[in-house]
Amino acid sequence: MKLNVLLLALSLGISSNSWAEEECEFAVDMSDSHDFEDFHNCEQVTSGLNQLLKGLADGEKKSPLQATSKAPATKLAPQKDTLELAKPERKNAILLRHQAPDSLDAQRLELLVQMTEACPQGFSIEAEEYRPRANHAFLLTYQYRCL
Amino acid sequence: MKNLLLPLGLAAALPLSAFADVTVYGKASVSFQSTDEAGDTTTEVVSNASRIGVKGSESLSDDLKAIYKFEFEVQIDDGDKNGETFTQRNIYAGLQSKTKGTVIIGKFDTPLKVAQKKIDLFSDLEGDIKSILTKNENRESNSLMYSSPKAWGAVKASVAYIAKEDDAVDDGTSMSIAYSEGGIYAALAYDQNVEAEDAEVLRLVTQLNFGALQLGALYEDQDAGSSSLLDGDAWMLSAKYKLGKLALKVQLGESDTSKSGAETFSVGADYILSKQTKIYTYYTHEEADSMLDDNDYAGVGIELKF
Repeated sequence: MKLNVLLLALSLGISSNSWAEEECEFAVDMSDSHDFEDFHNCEQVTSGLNQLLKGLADGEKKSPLQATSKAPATKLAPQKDTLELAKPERKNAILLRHQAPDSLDAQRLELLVQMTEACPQGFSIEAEEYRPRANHAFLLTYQYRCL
Repeated sequence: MKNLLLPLGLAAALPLSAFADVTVYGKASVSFQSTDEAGDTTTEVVSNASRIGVKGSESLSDDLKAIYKFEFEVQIDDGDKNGETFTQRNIYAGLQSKTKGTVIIGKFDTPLKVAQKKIDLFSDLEGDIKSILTKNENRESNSLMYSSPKAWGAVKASVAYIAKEDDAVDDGTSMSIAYSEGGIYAALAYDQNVEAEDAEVLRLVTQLNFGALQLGALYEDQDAGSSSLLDGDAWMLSAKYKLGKLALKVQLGESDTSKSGAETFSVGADYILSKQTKIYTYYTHEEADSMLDDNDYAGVGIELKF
């Protein structure tokens, strides 16, 4: 599975330019330019308050039908109190650029470490998503839930 | 305290969907500075355009989205600026199309100001080009602007219409066209009736990147027309060299448009502590025909982006 994901990520064909790094620089740096597309399209939702806001919004977007159709709901239901169930799903995101396989592994490991920090008791990954960006780059996001 | 609680209360009352695609961002930049100004020497703590903002968007179709930004300056040294805790910076709402470009309405930097890109290496510090070199670093209220889409490639154009909201004063126009490819950036910008009625400004900017070295140059010609501004021109050169986590910076310029016979130079260094945080030091010297004493500033500070 891991190998498949790795091959998929590498086969997505990412050119070896630095645009992604520039595009995803800090919002406060992009804010002073008139590059509105970069400023408003770049994902900066990786941690802290922004991650929380994104999680809240994503939580509301799910319809009850979608929520019940997901297998993890039954898995999580026992022993969890109401407060814990109300926890929003959270995401870690990273923009995949052209890189060597071990570099991709390192980036993935970095996300796993971030999730571990957020969930000291462990976590389950509920989705691994690749969203296309300009210049054939992809944004990798994980949806996870603390155990 | 009530002012602080109000936004929190509003946020709590909003539906969660209001938070979709909202990003909070900003920076804290503060320095400890020795100031020798007009013969008086003082030690200051200075907030260097510290700010907090929120930006967001809502997708309206595959090609169109509504966008907004609210950004405020915060004085983290004194706590307020002219009695205001938050002072308005760039604030707008608008529509963005990947194929047709972006239209925004609000208060924001003019295309001529933005054309300088990042060649002002002492921006937001005492050595900022707006201190003594130019009066045309404007953030105009009541503006409407069109910017070309990224689909245009290396060329980007912006045109802003600035309503003066006074029948007796001509409205302003600011425009720019820029070329950016690889390590080369060049821009031409023009203002009419922006800083003052009947005044015209032409600005040329270039930035060249050679690996660790960044060079910048700016030239500005100001025709005061019938306004009280000064006729004349201004120029500025800058260079930055990155040496690992260290960046060395130097900048100098002369101007007859802001003050007659104005000259300035700055040297400084940034040291990167992390992706978000750096410490910096700087020295700036200013002089002009109309100034009885030269101004000198030296400081050390910290900047944290979030």
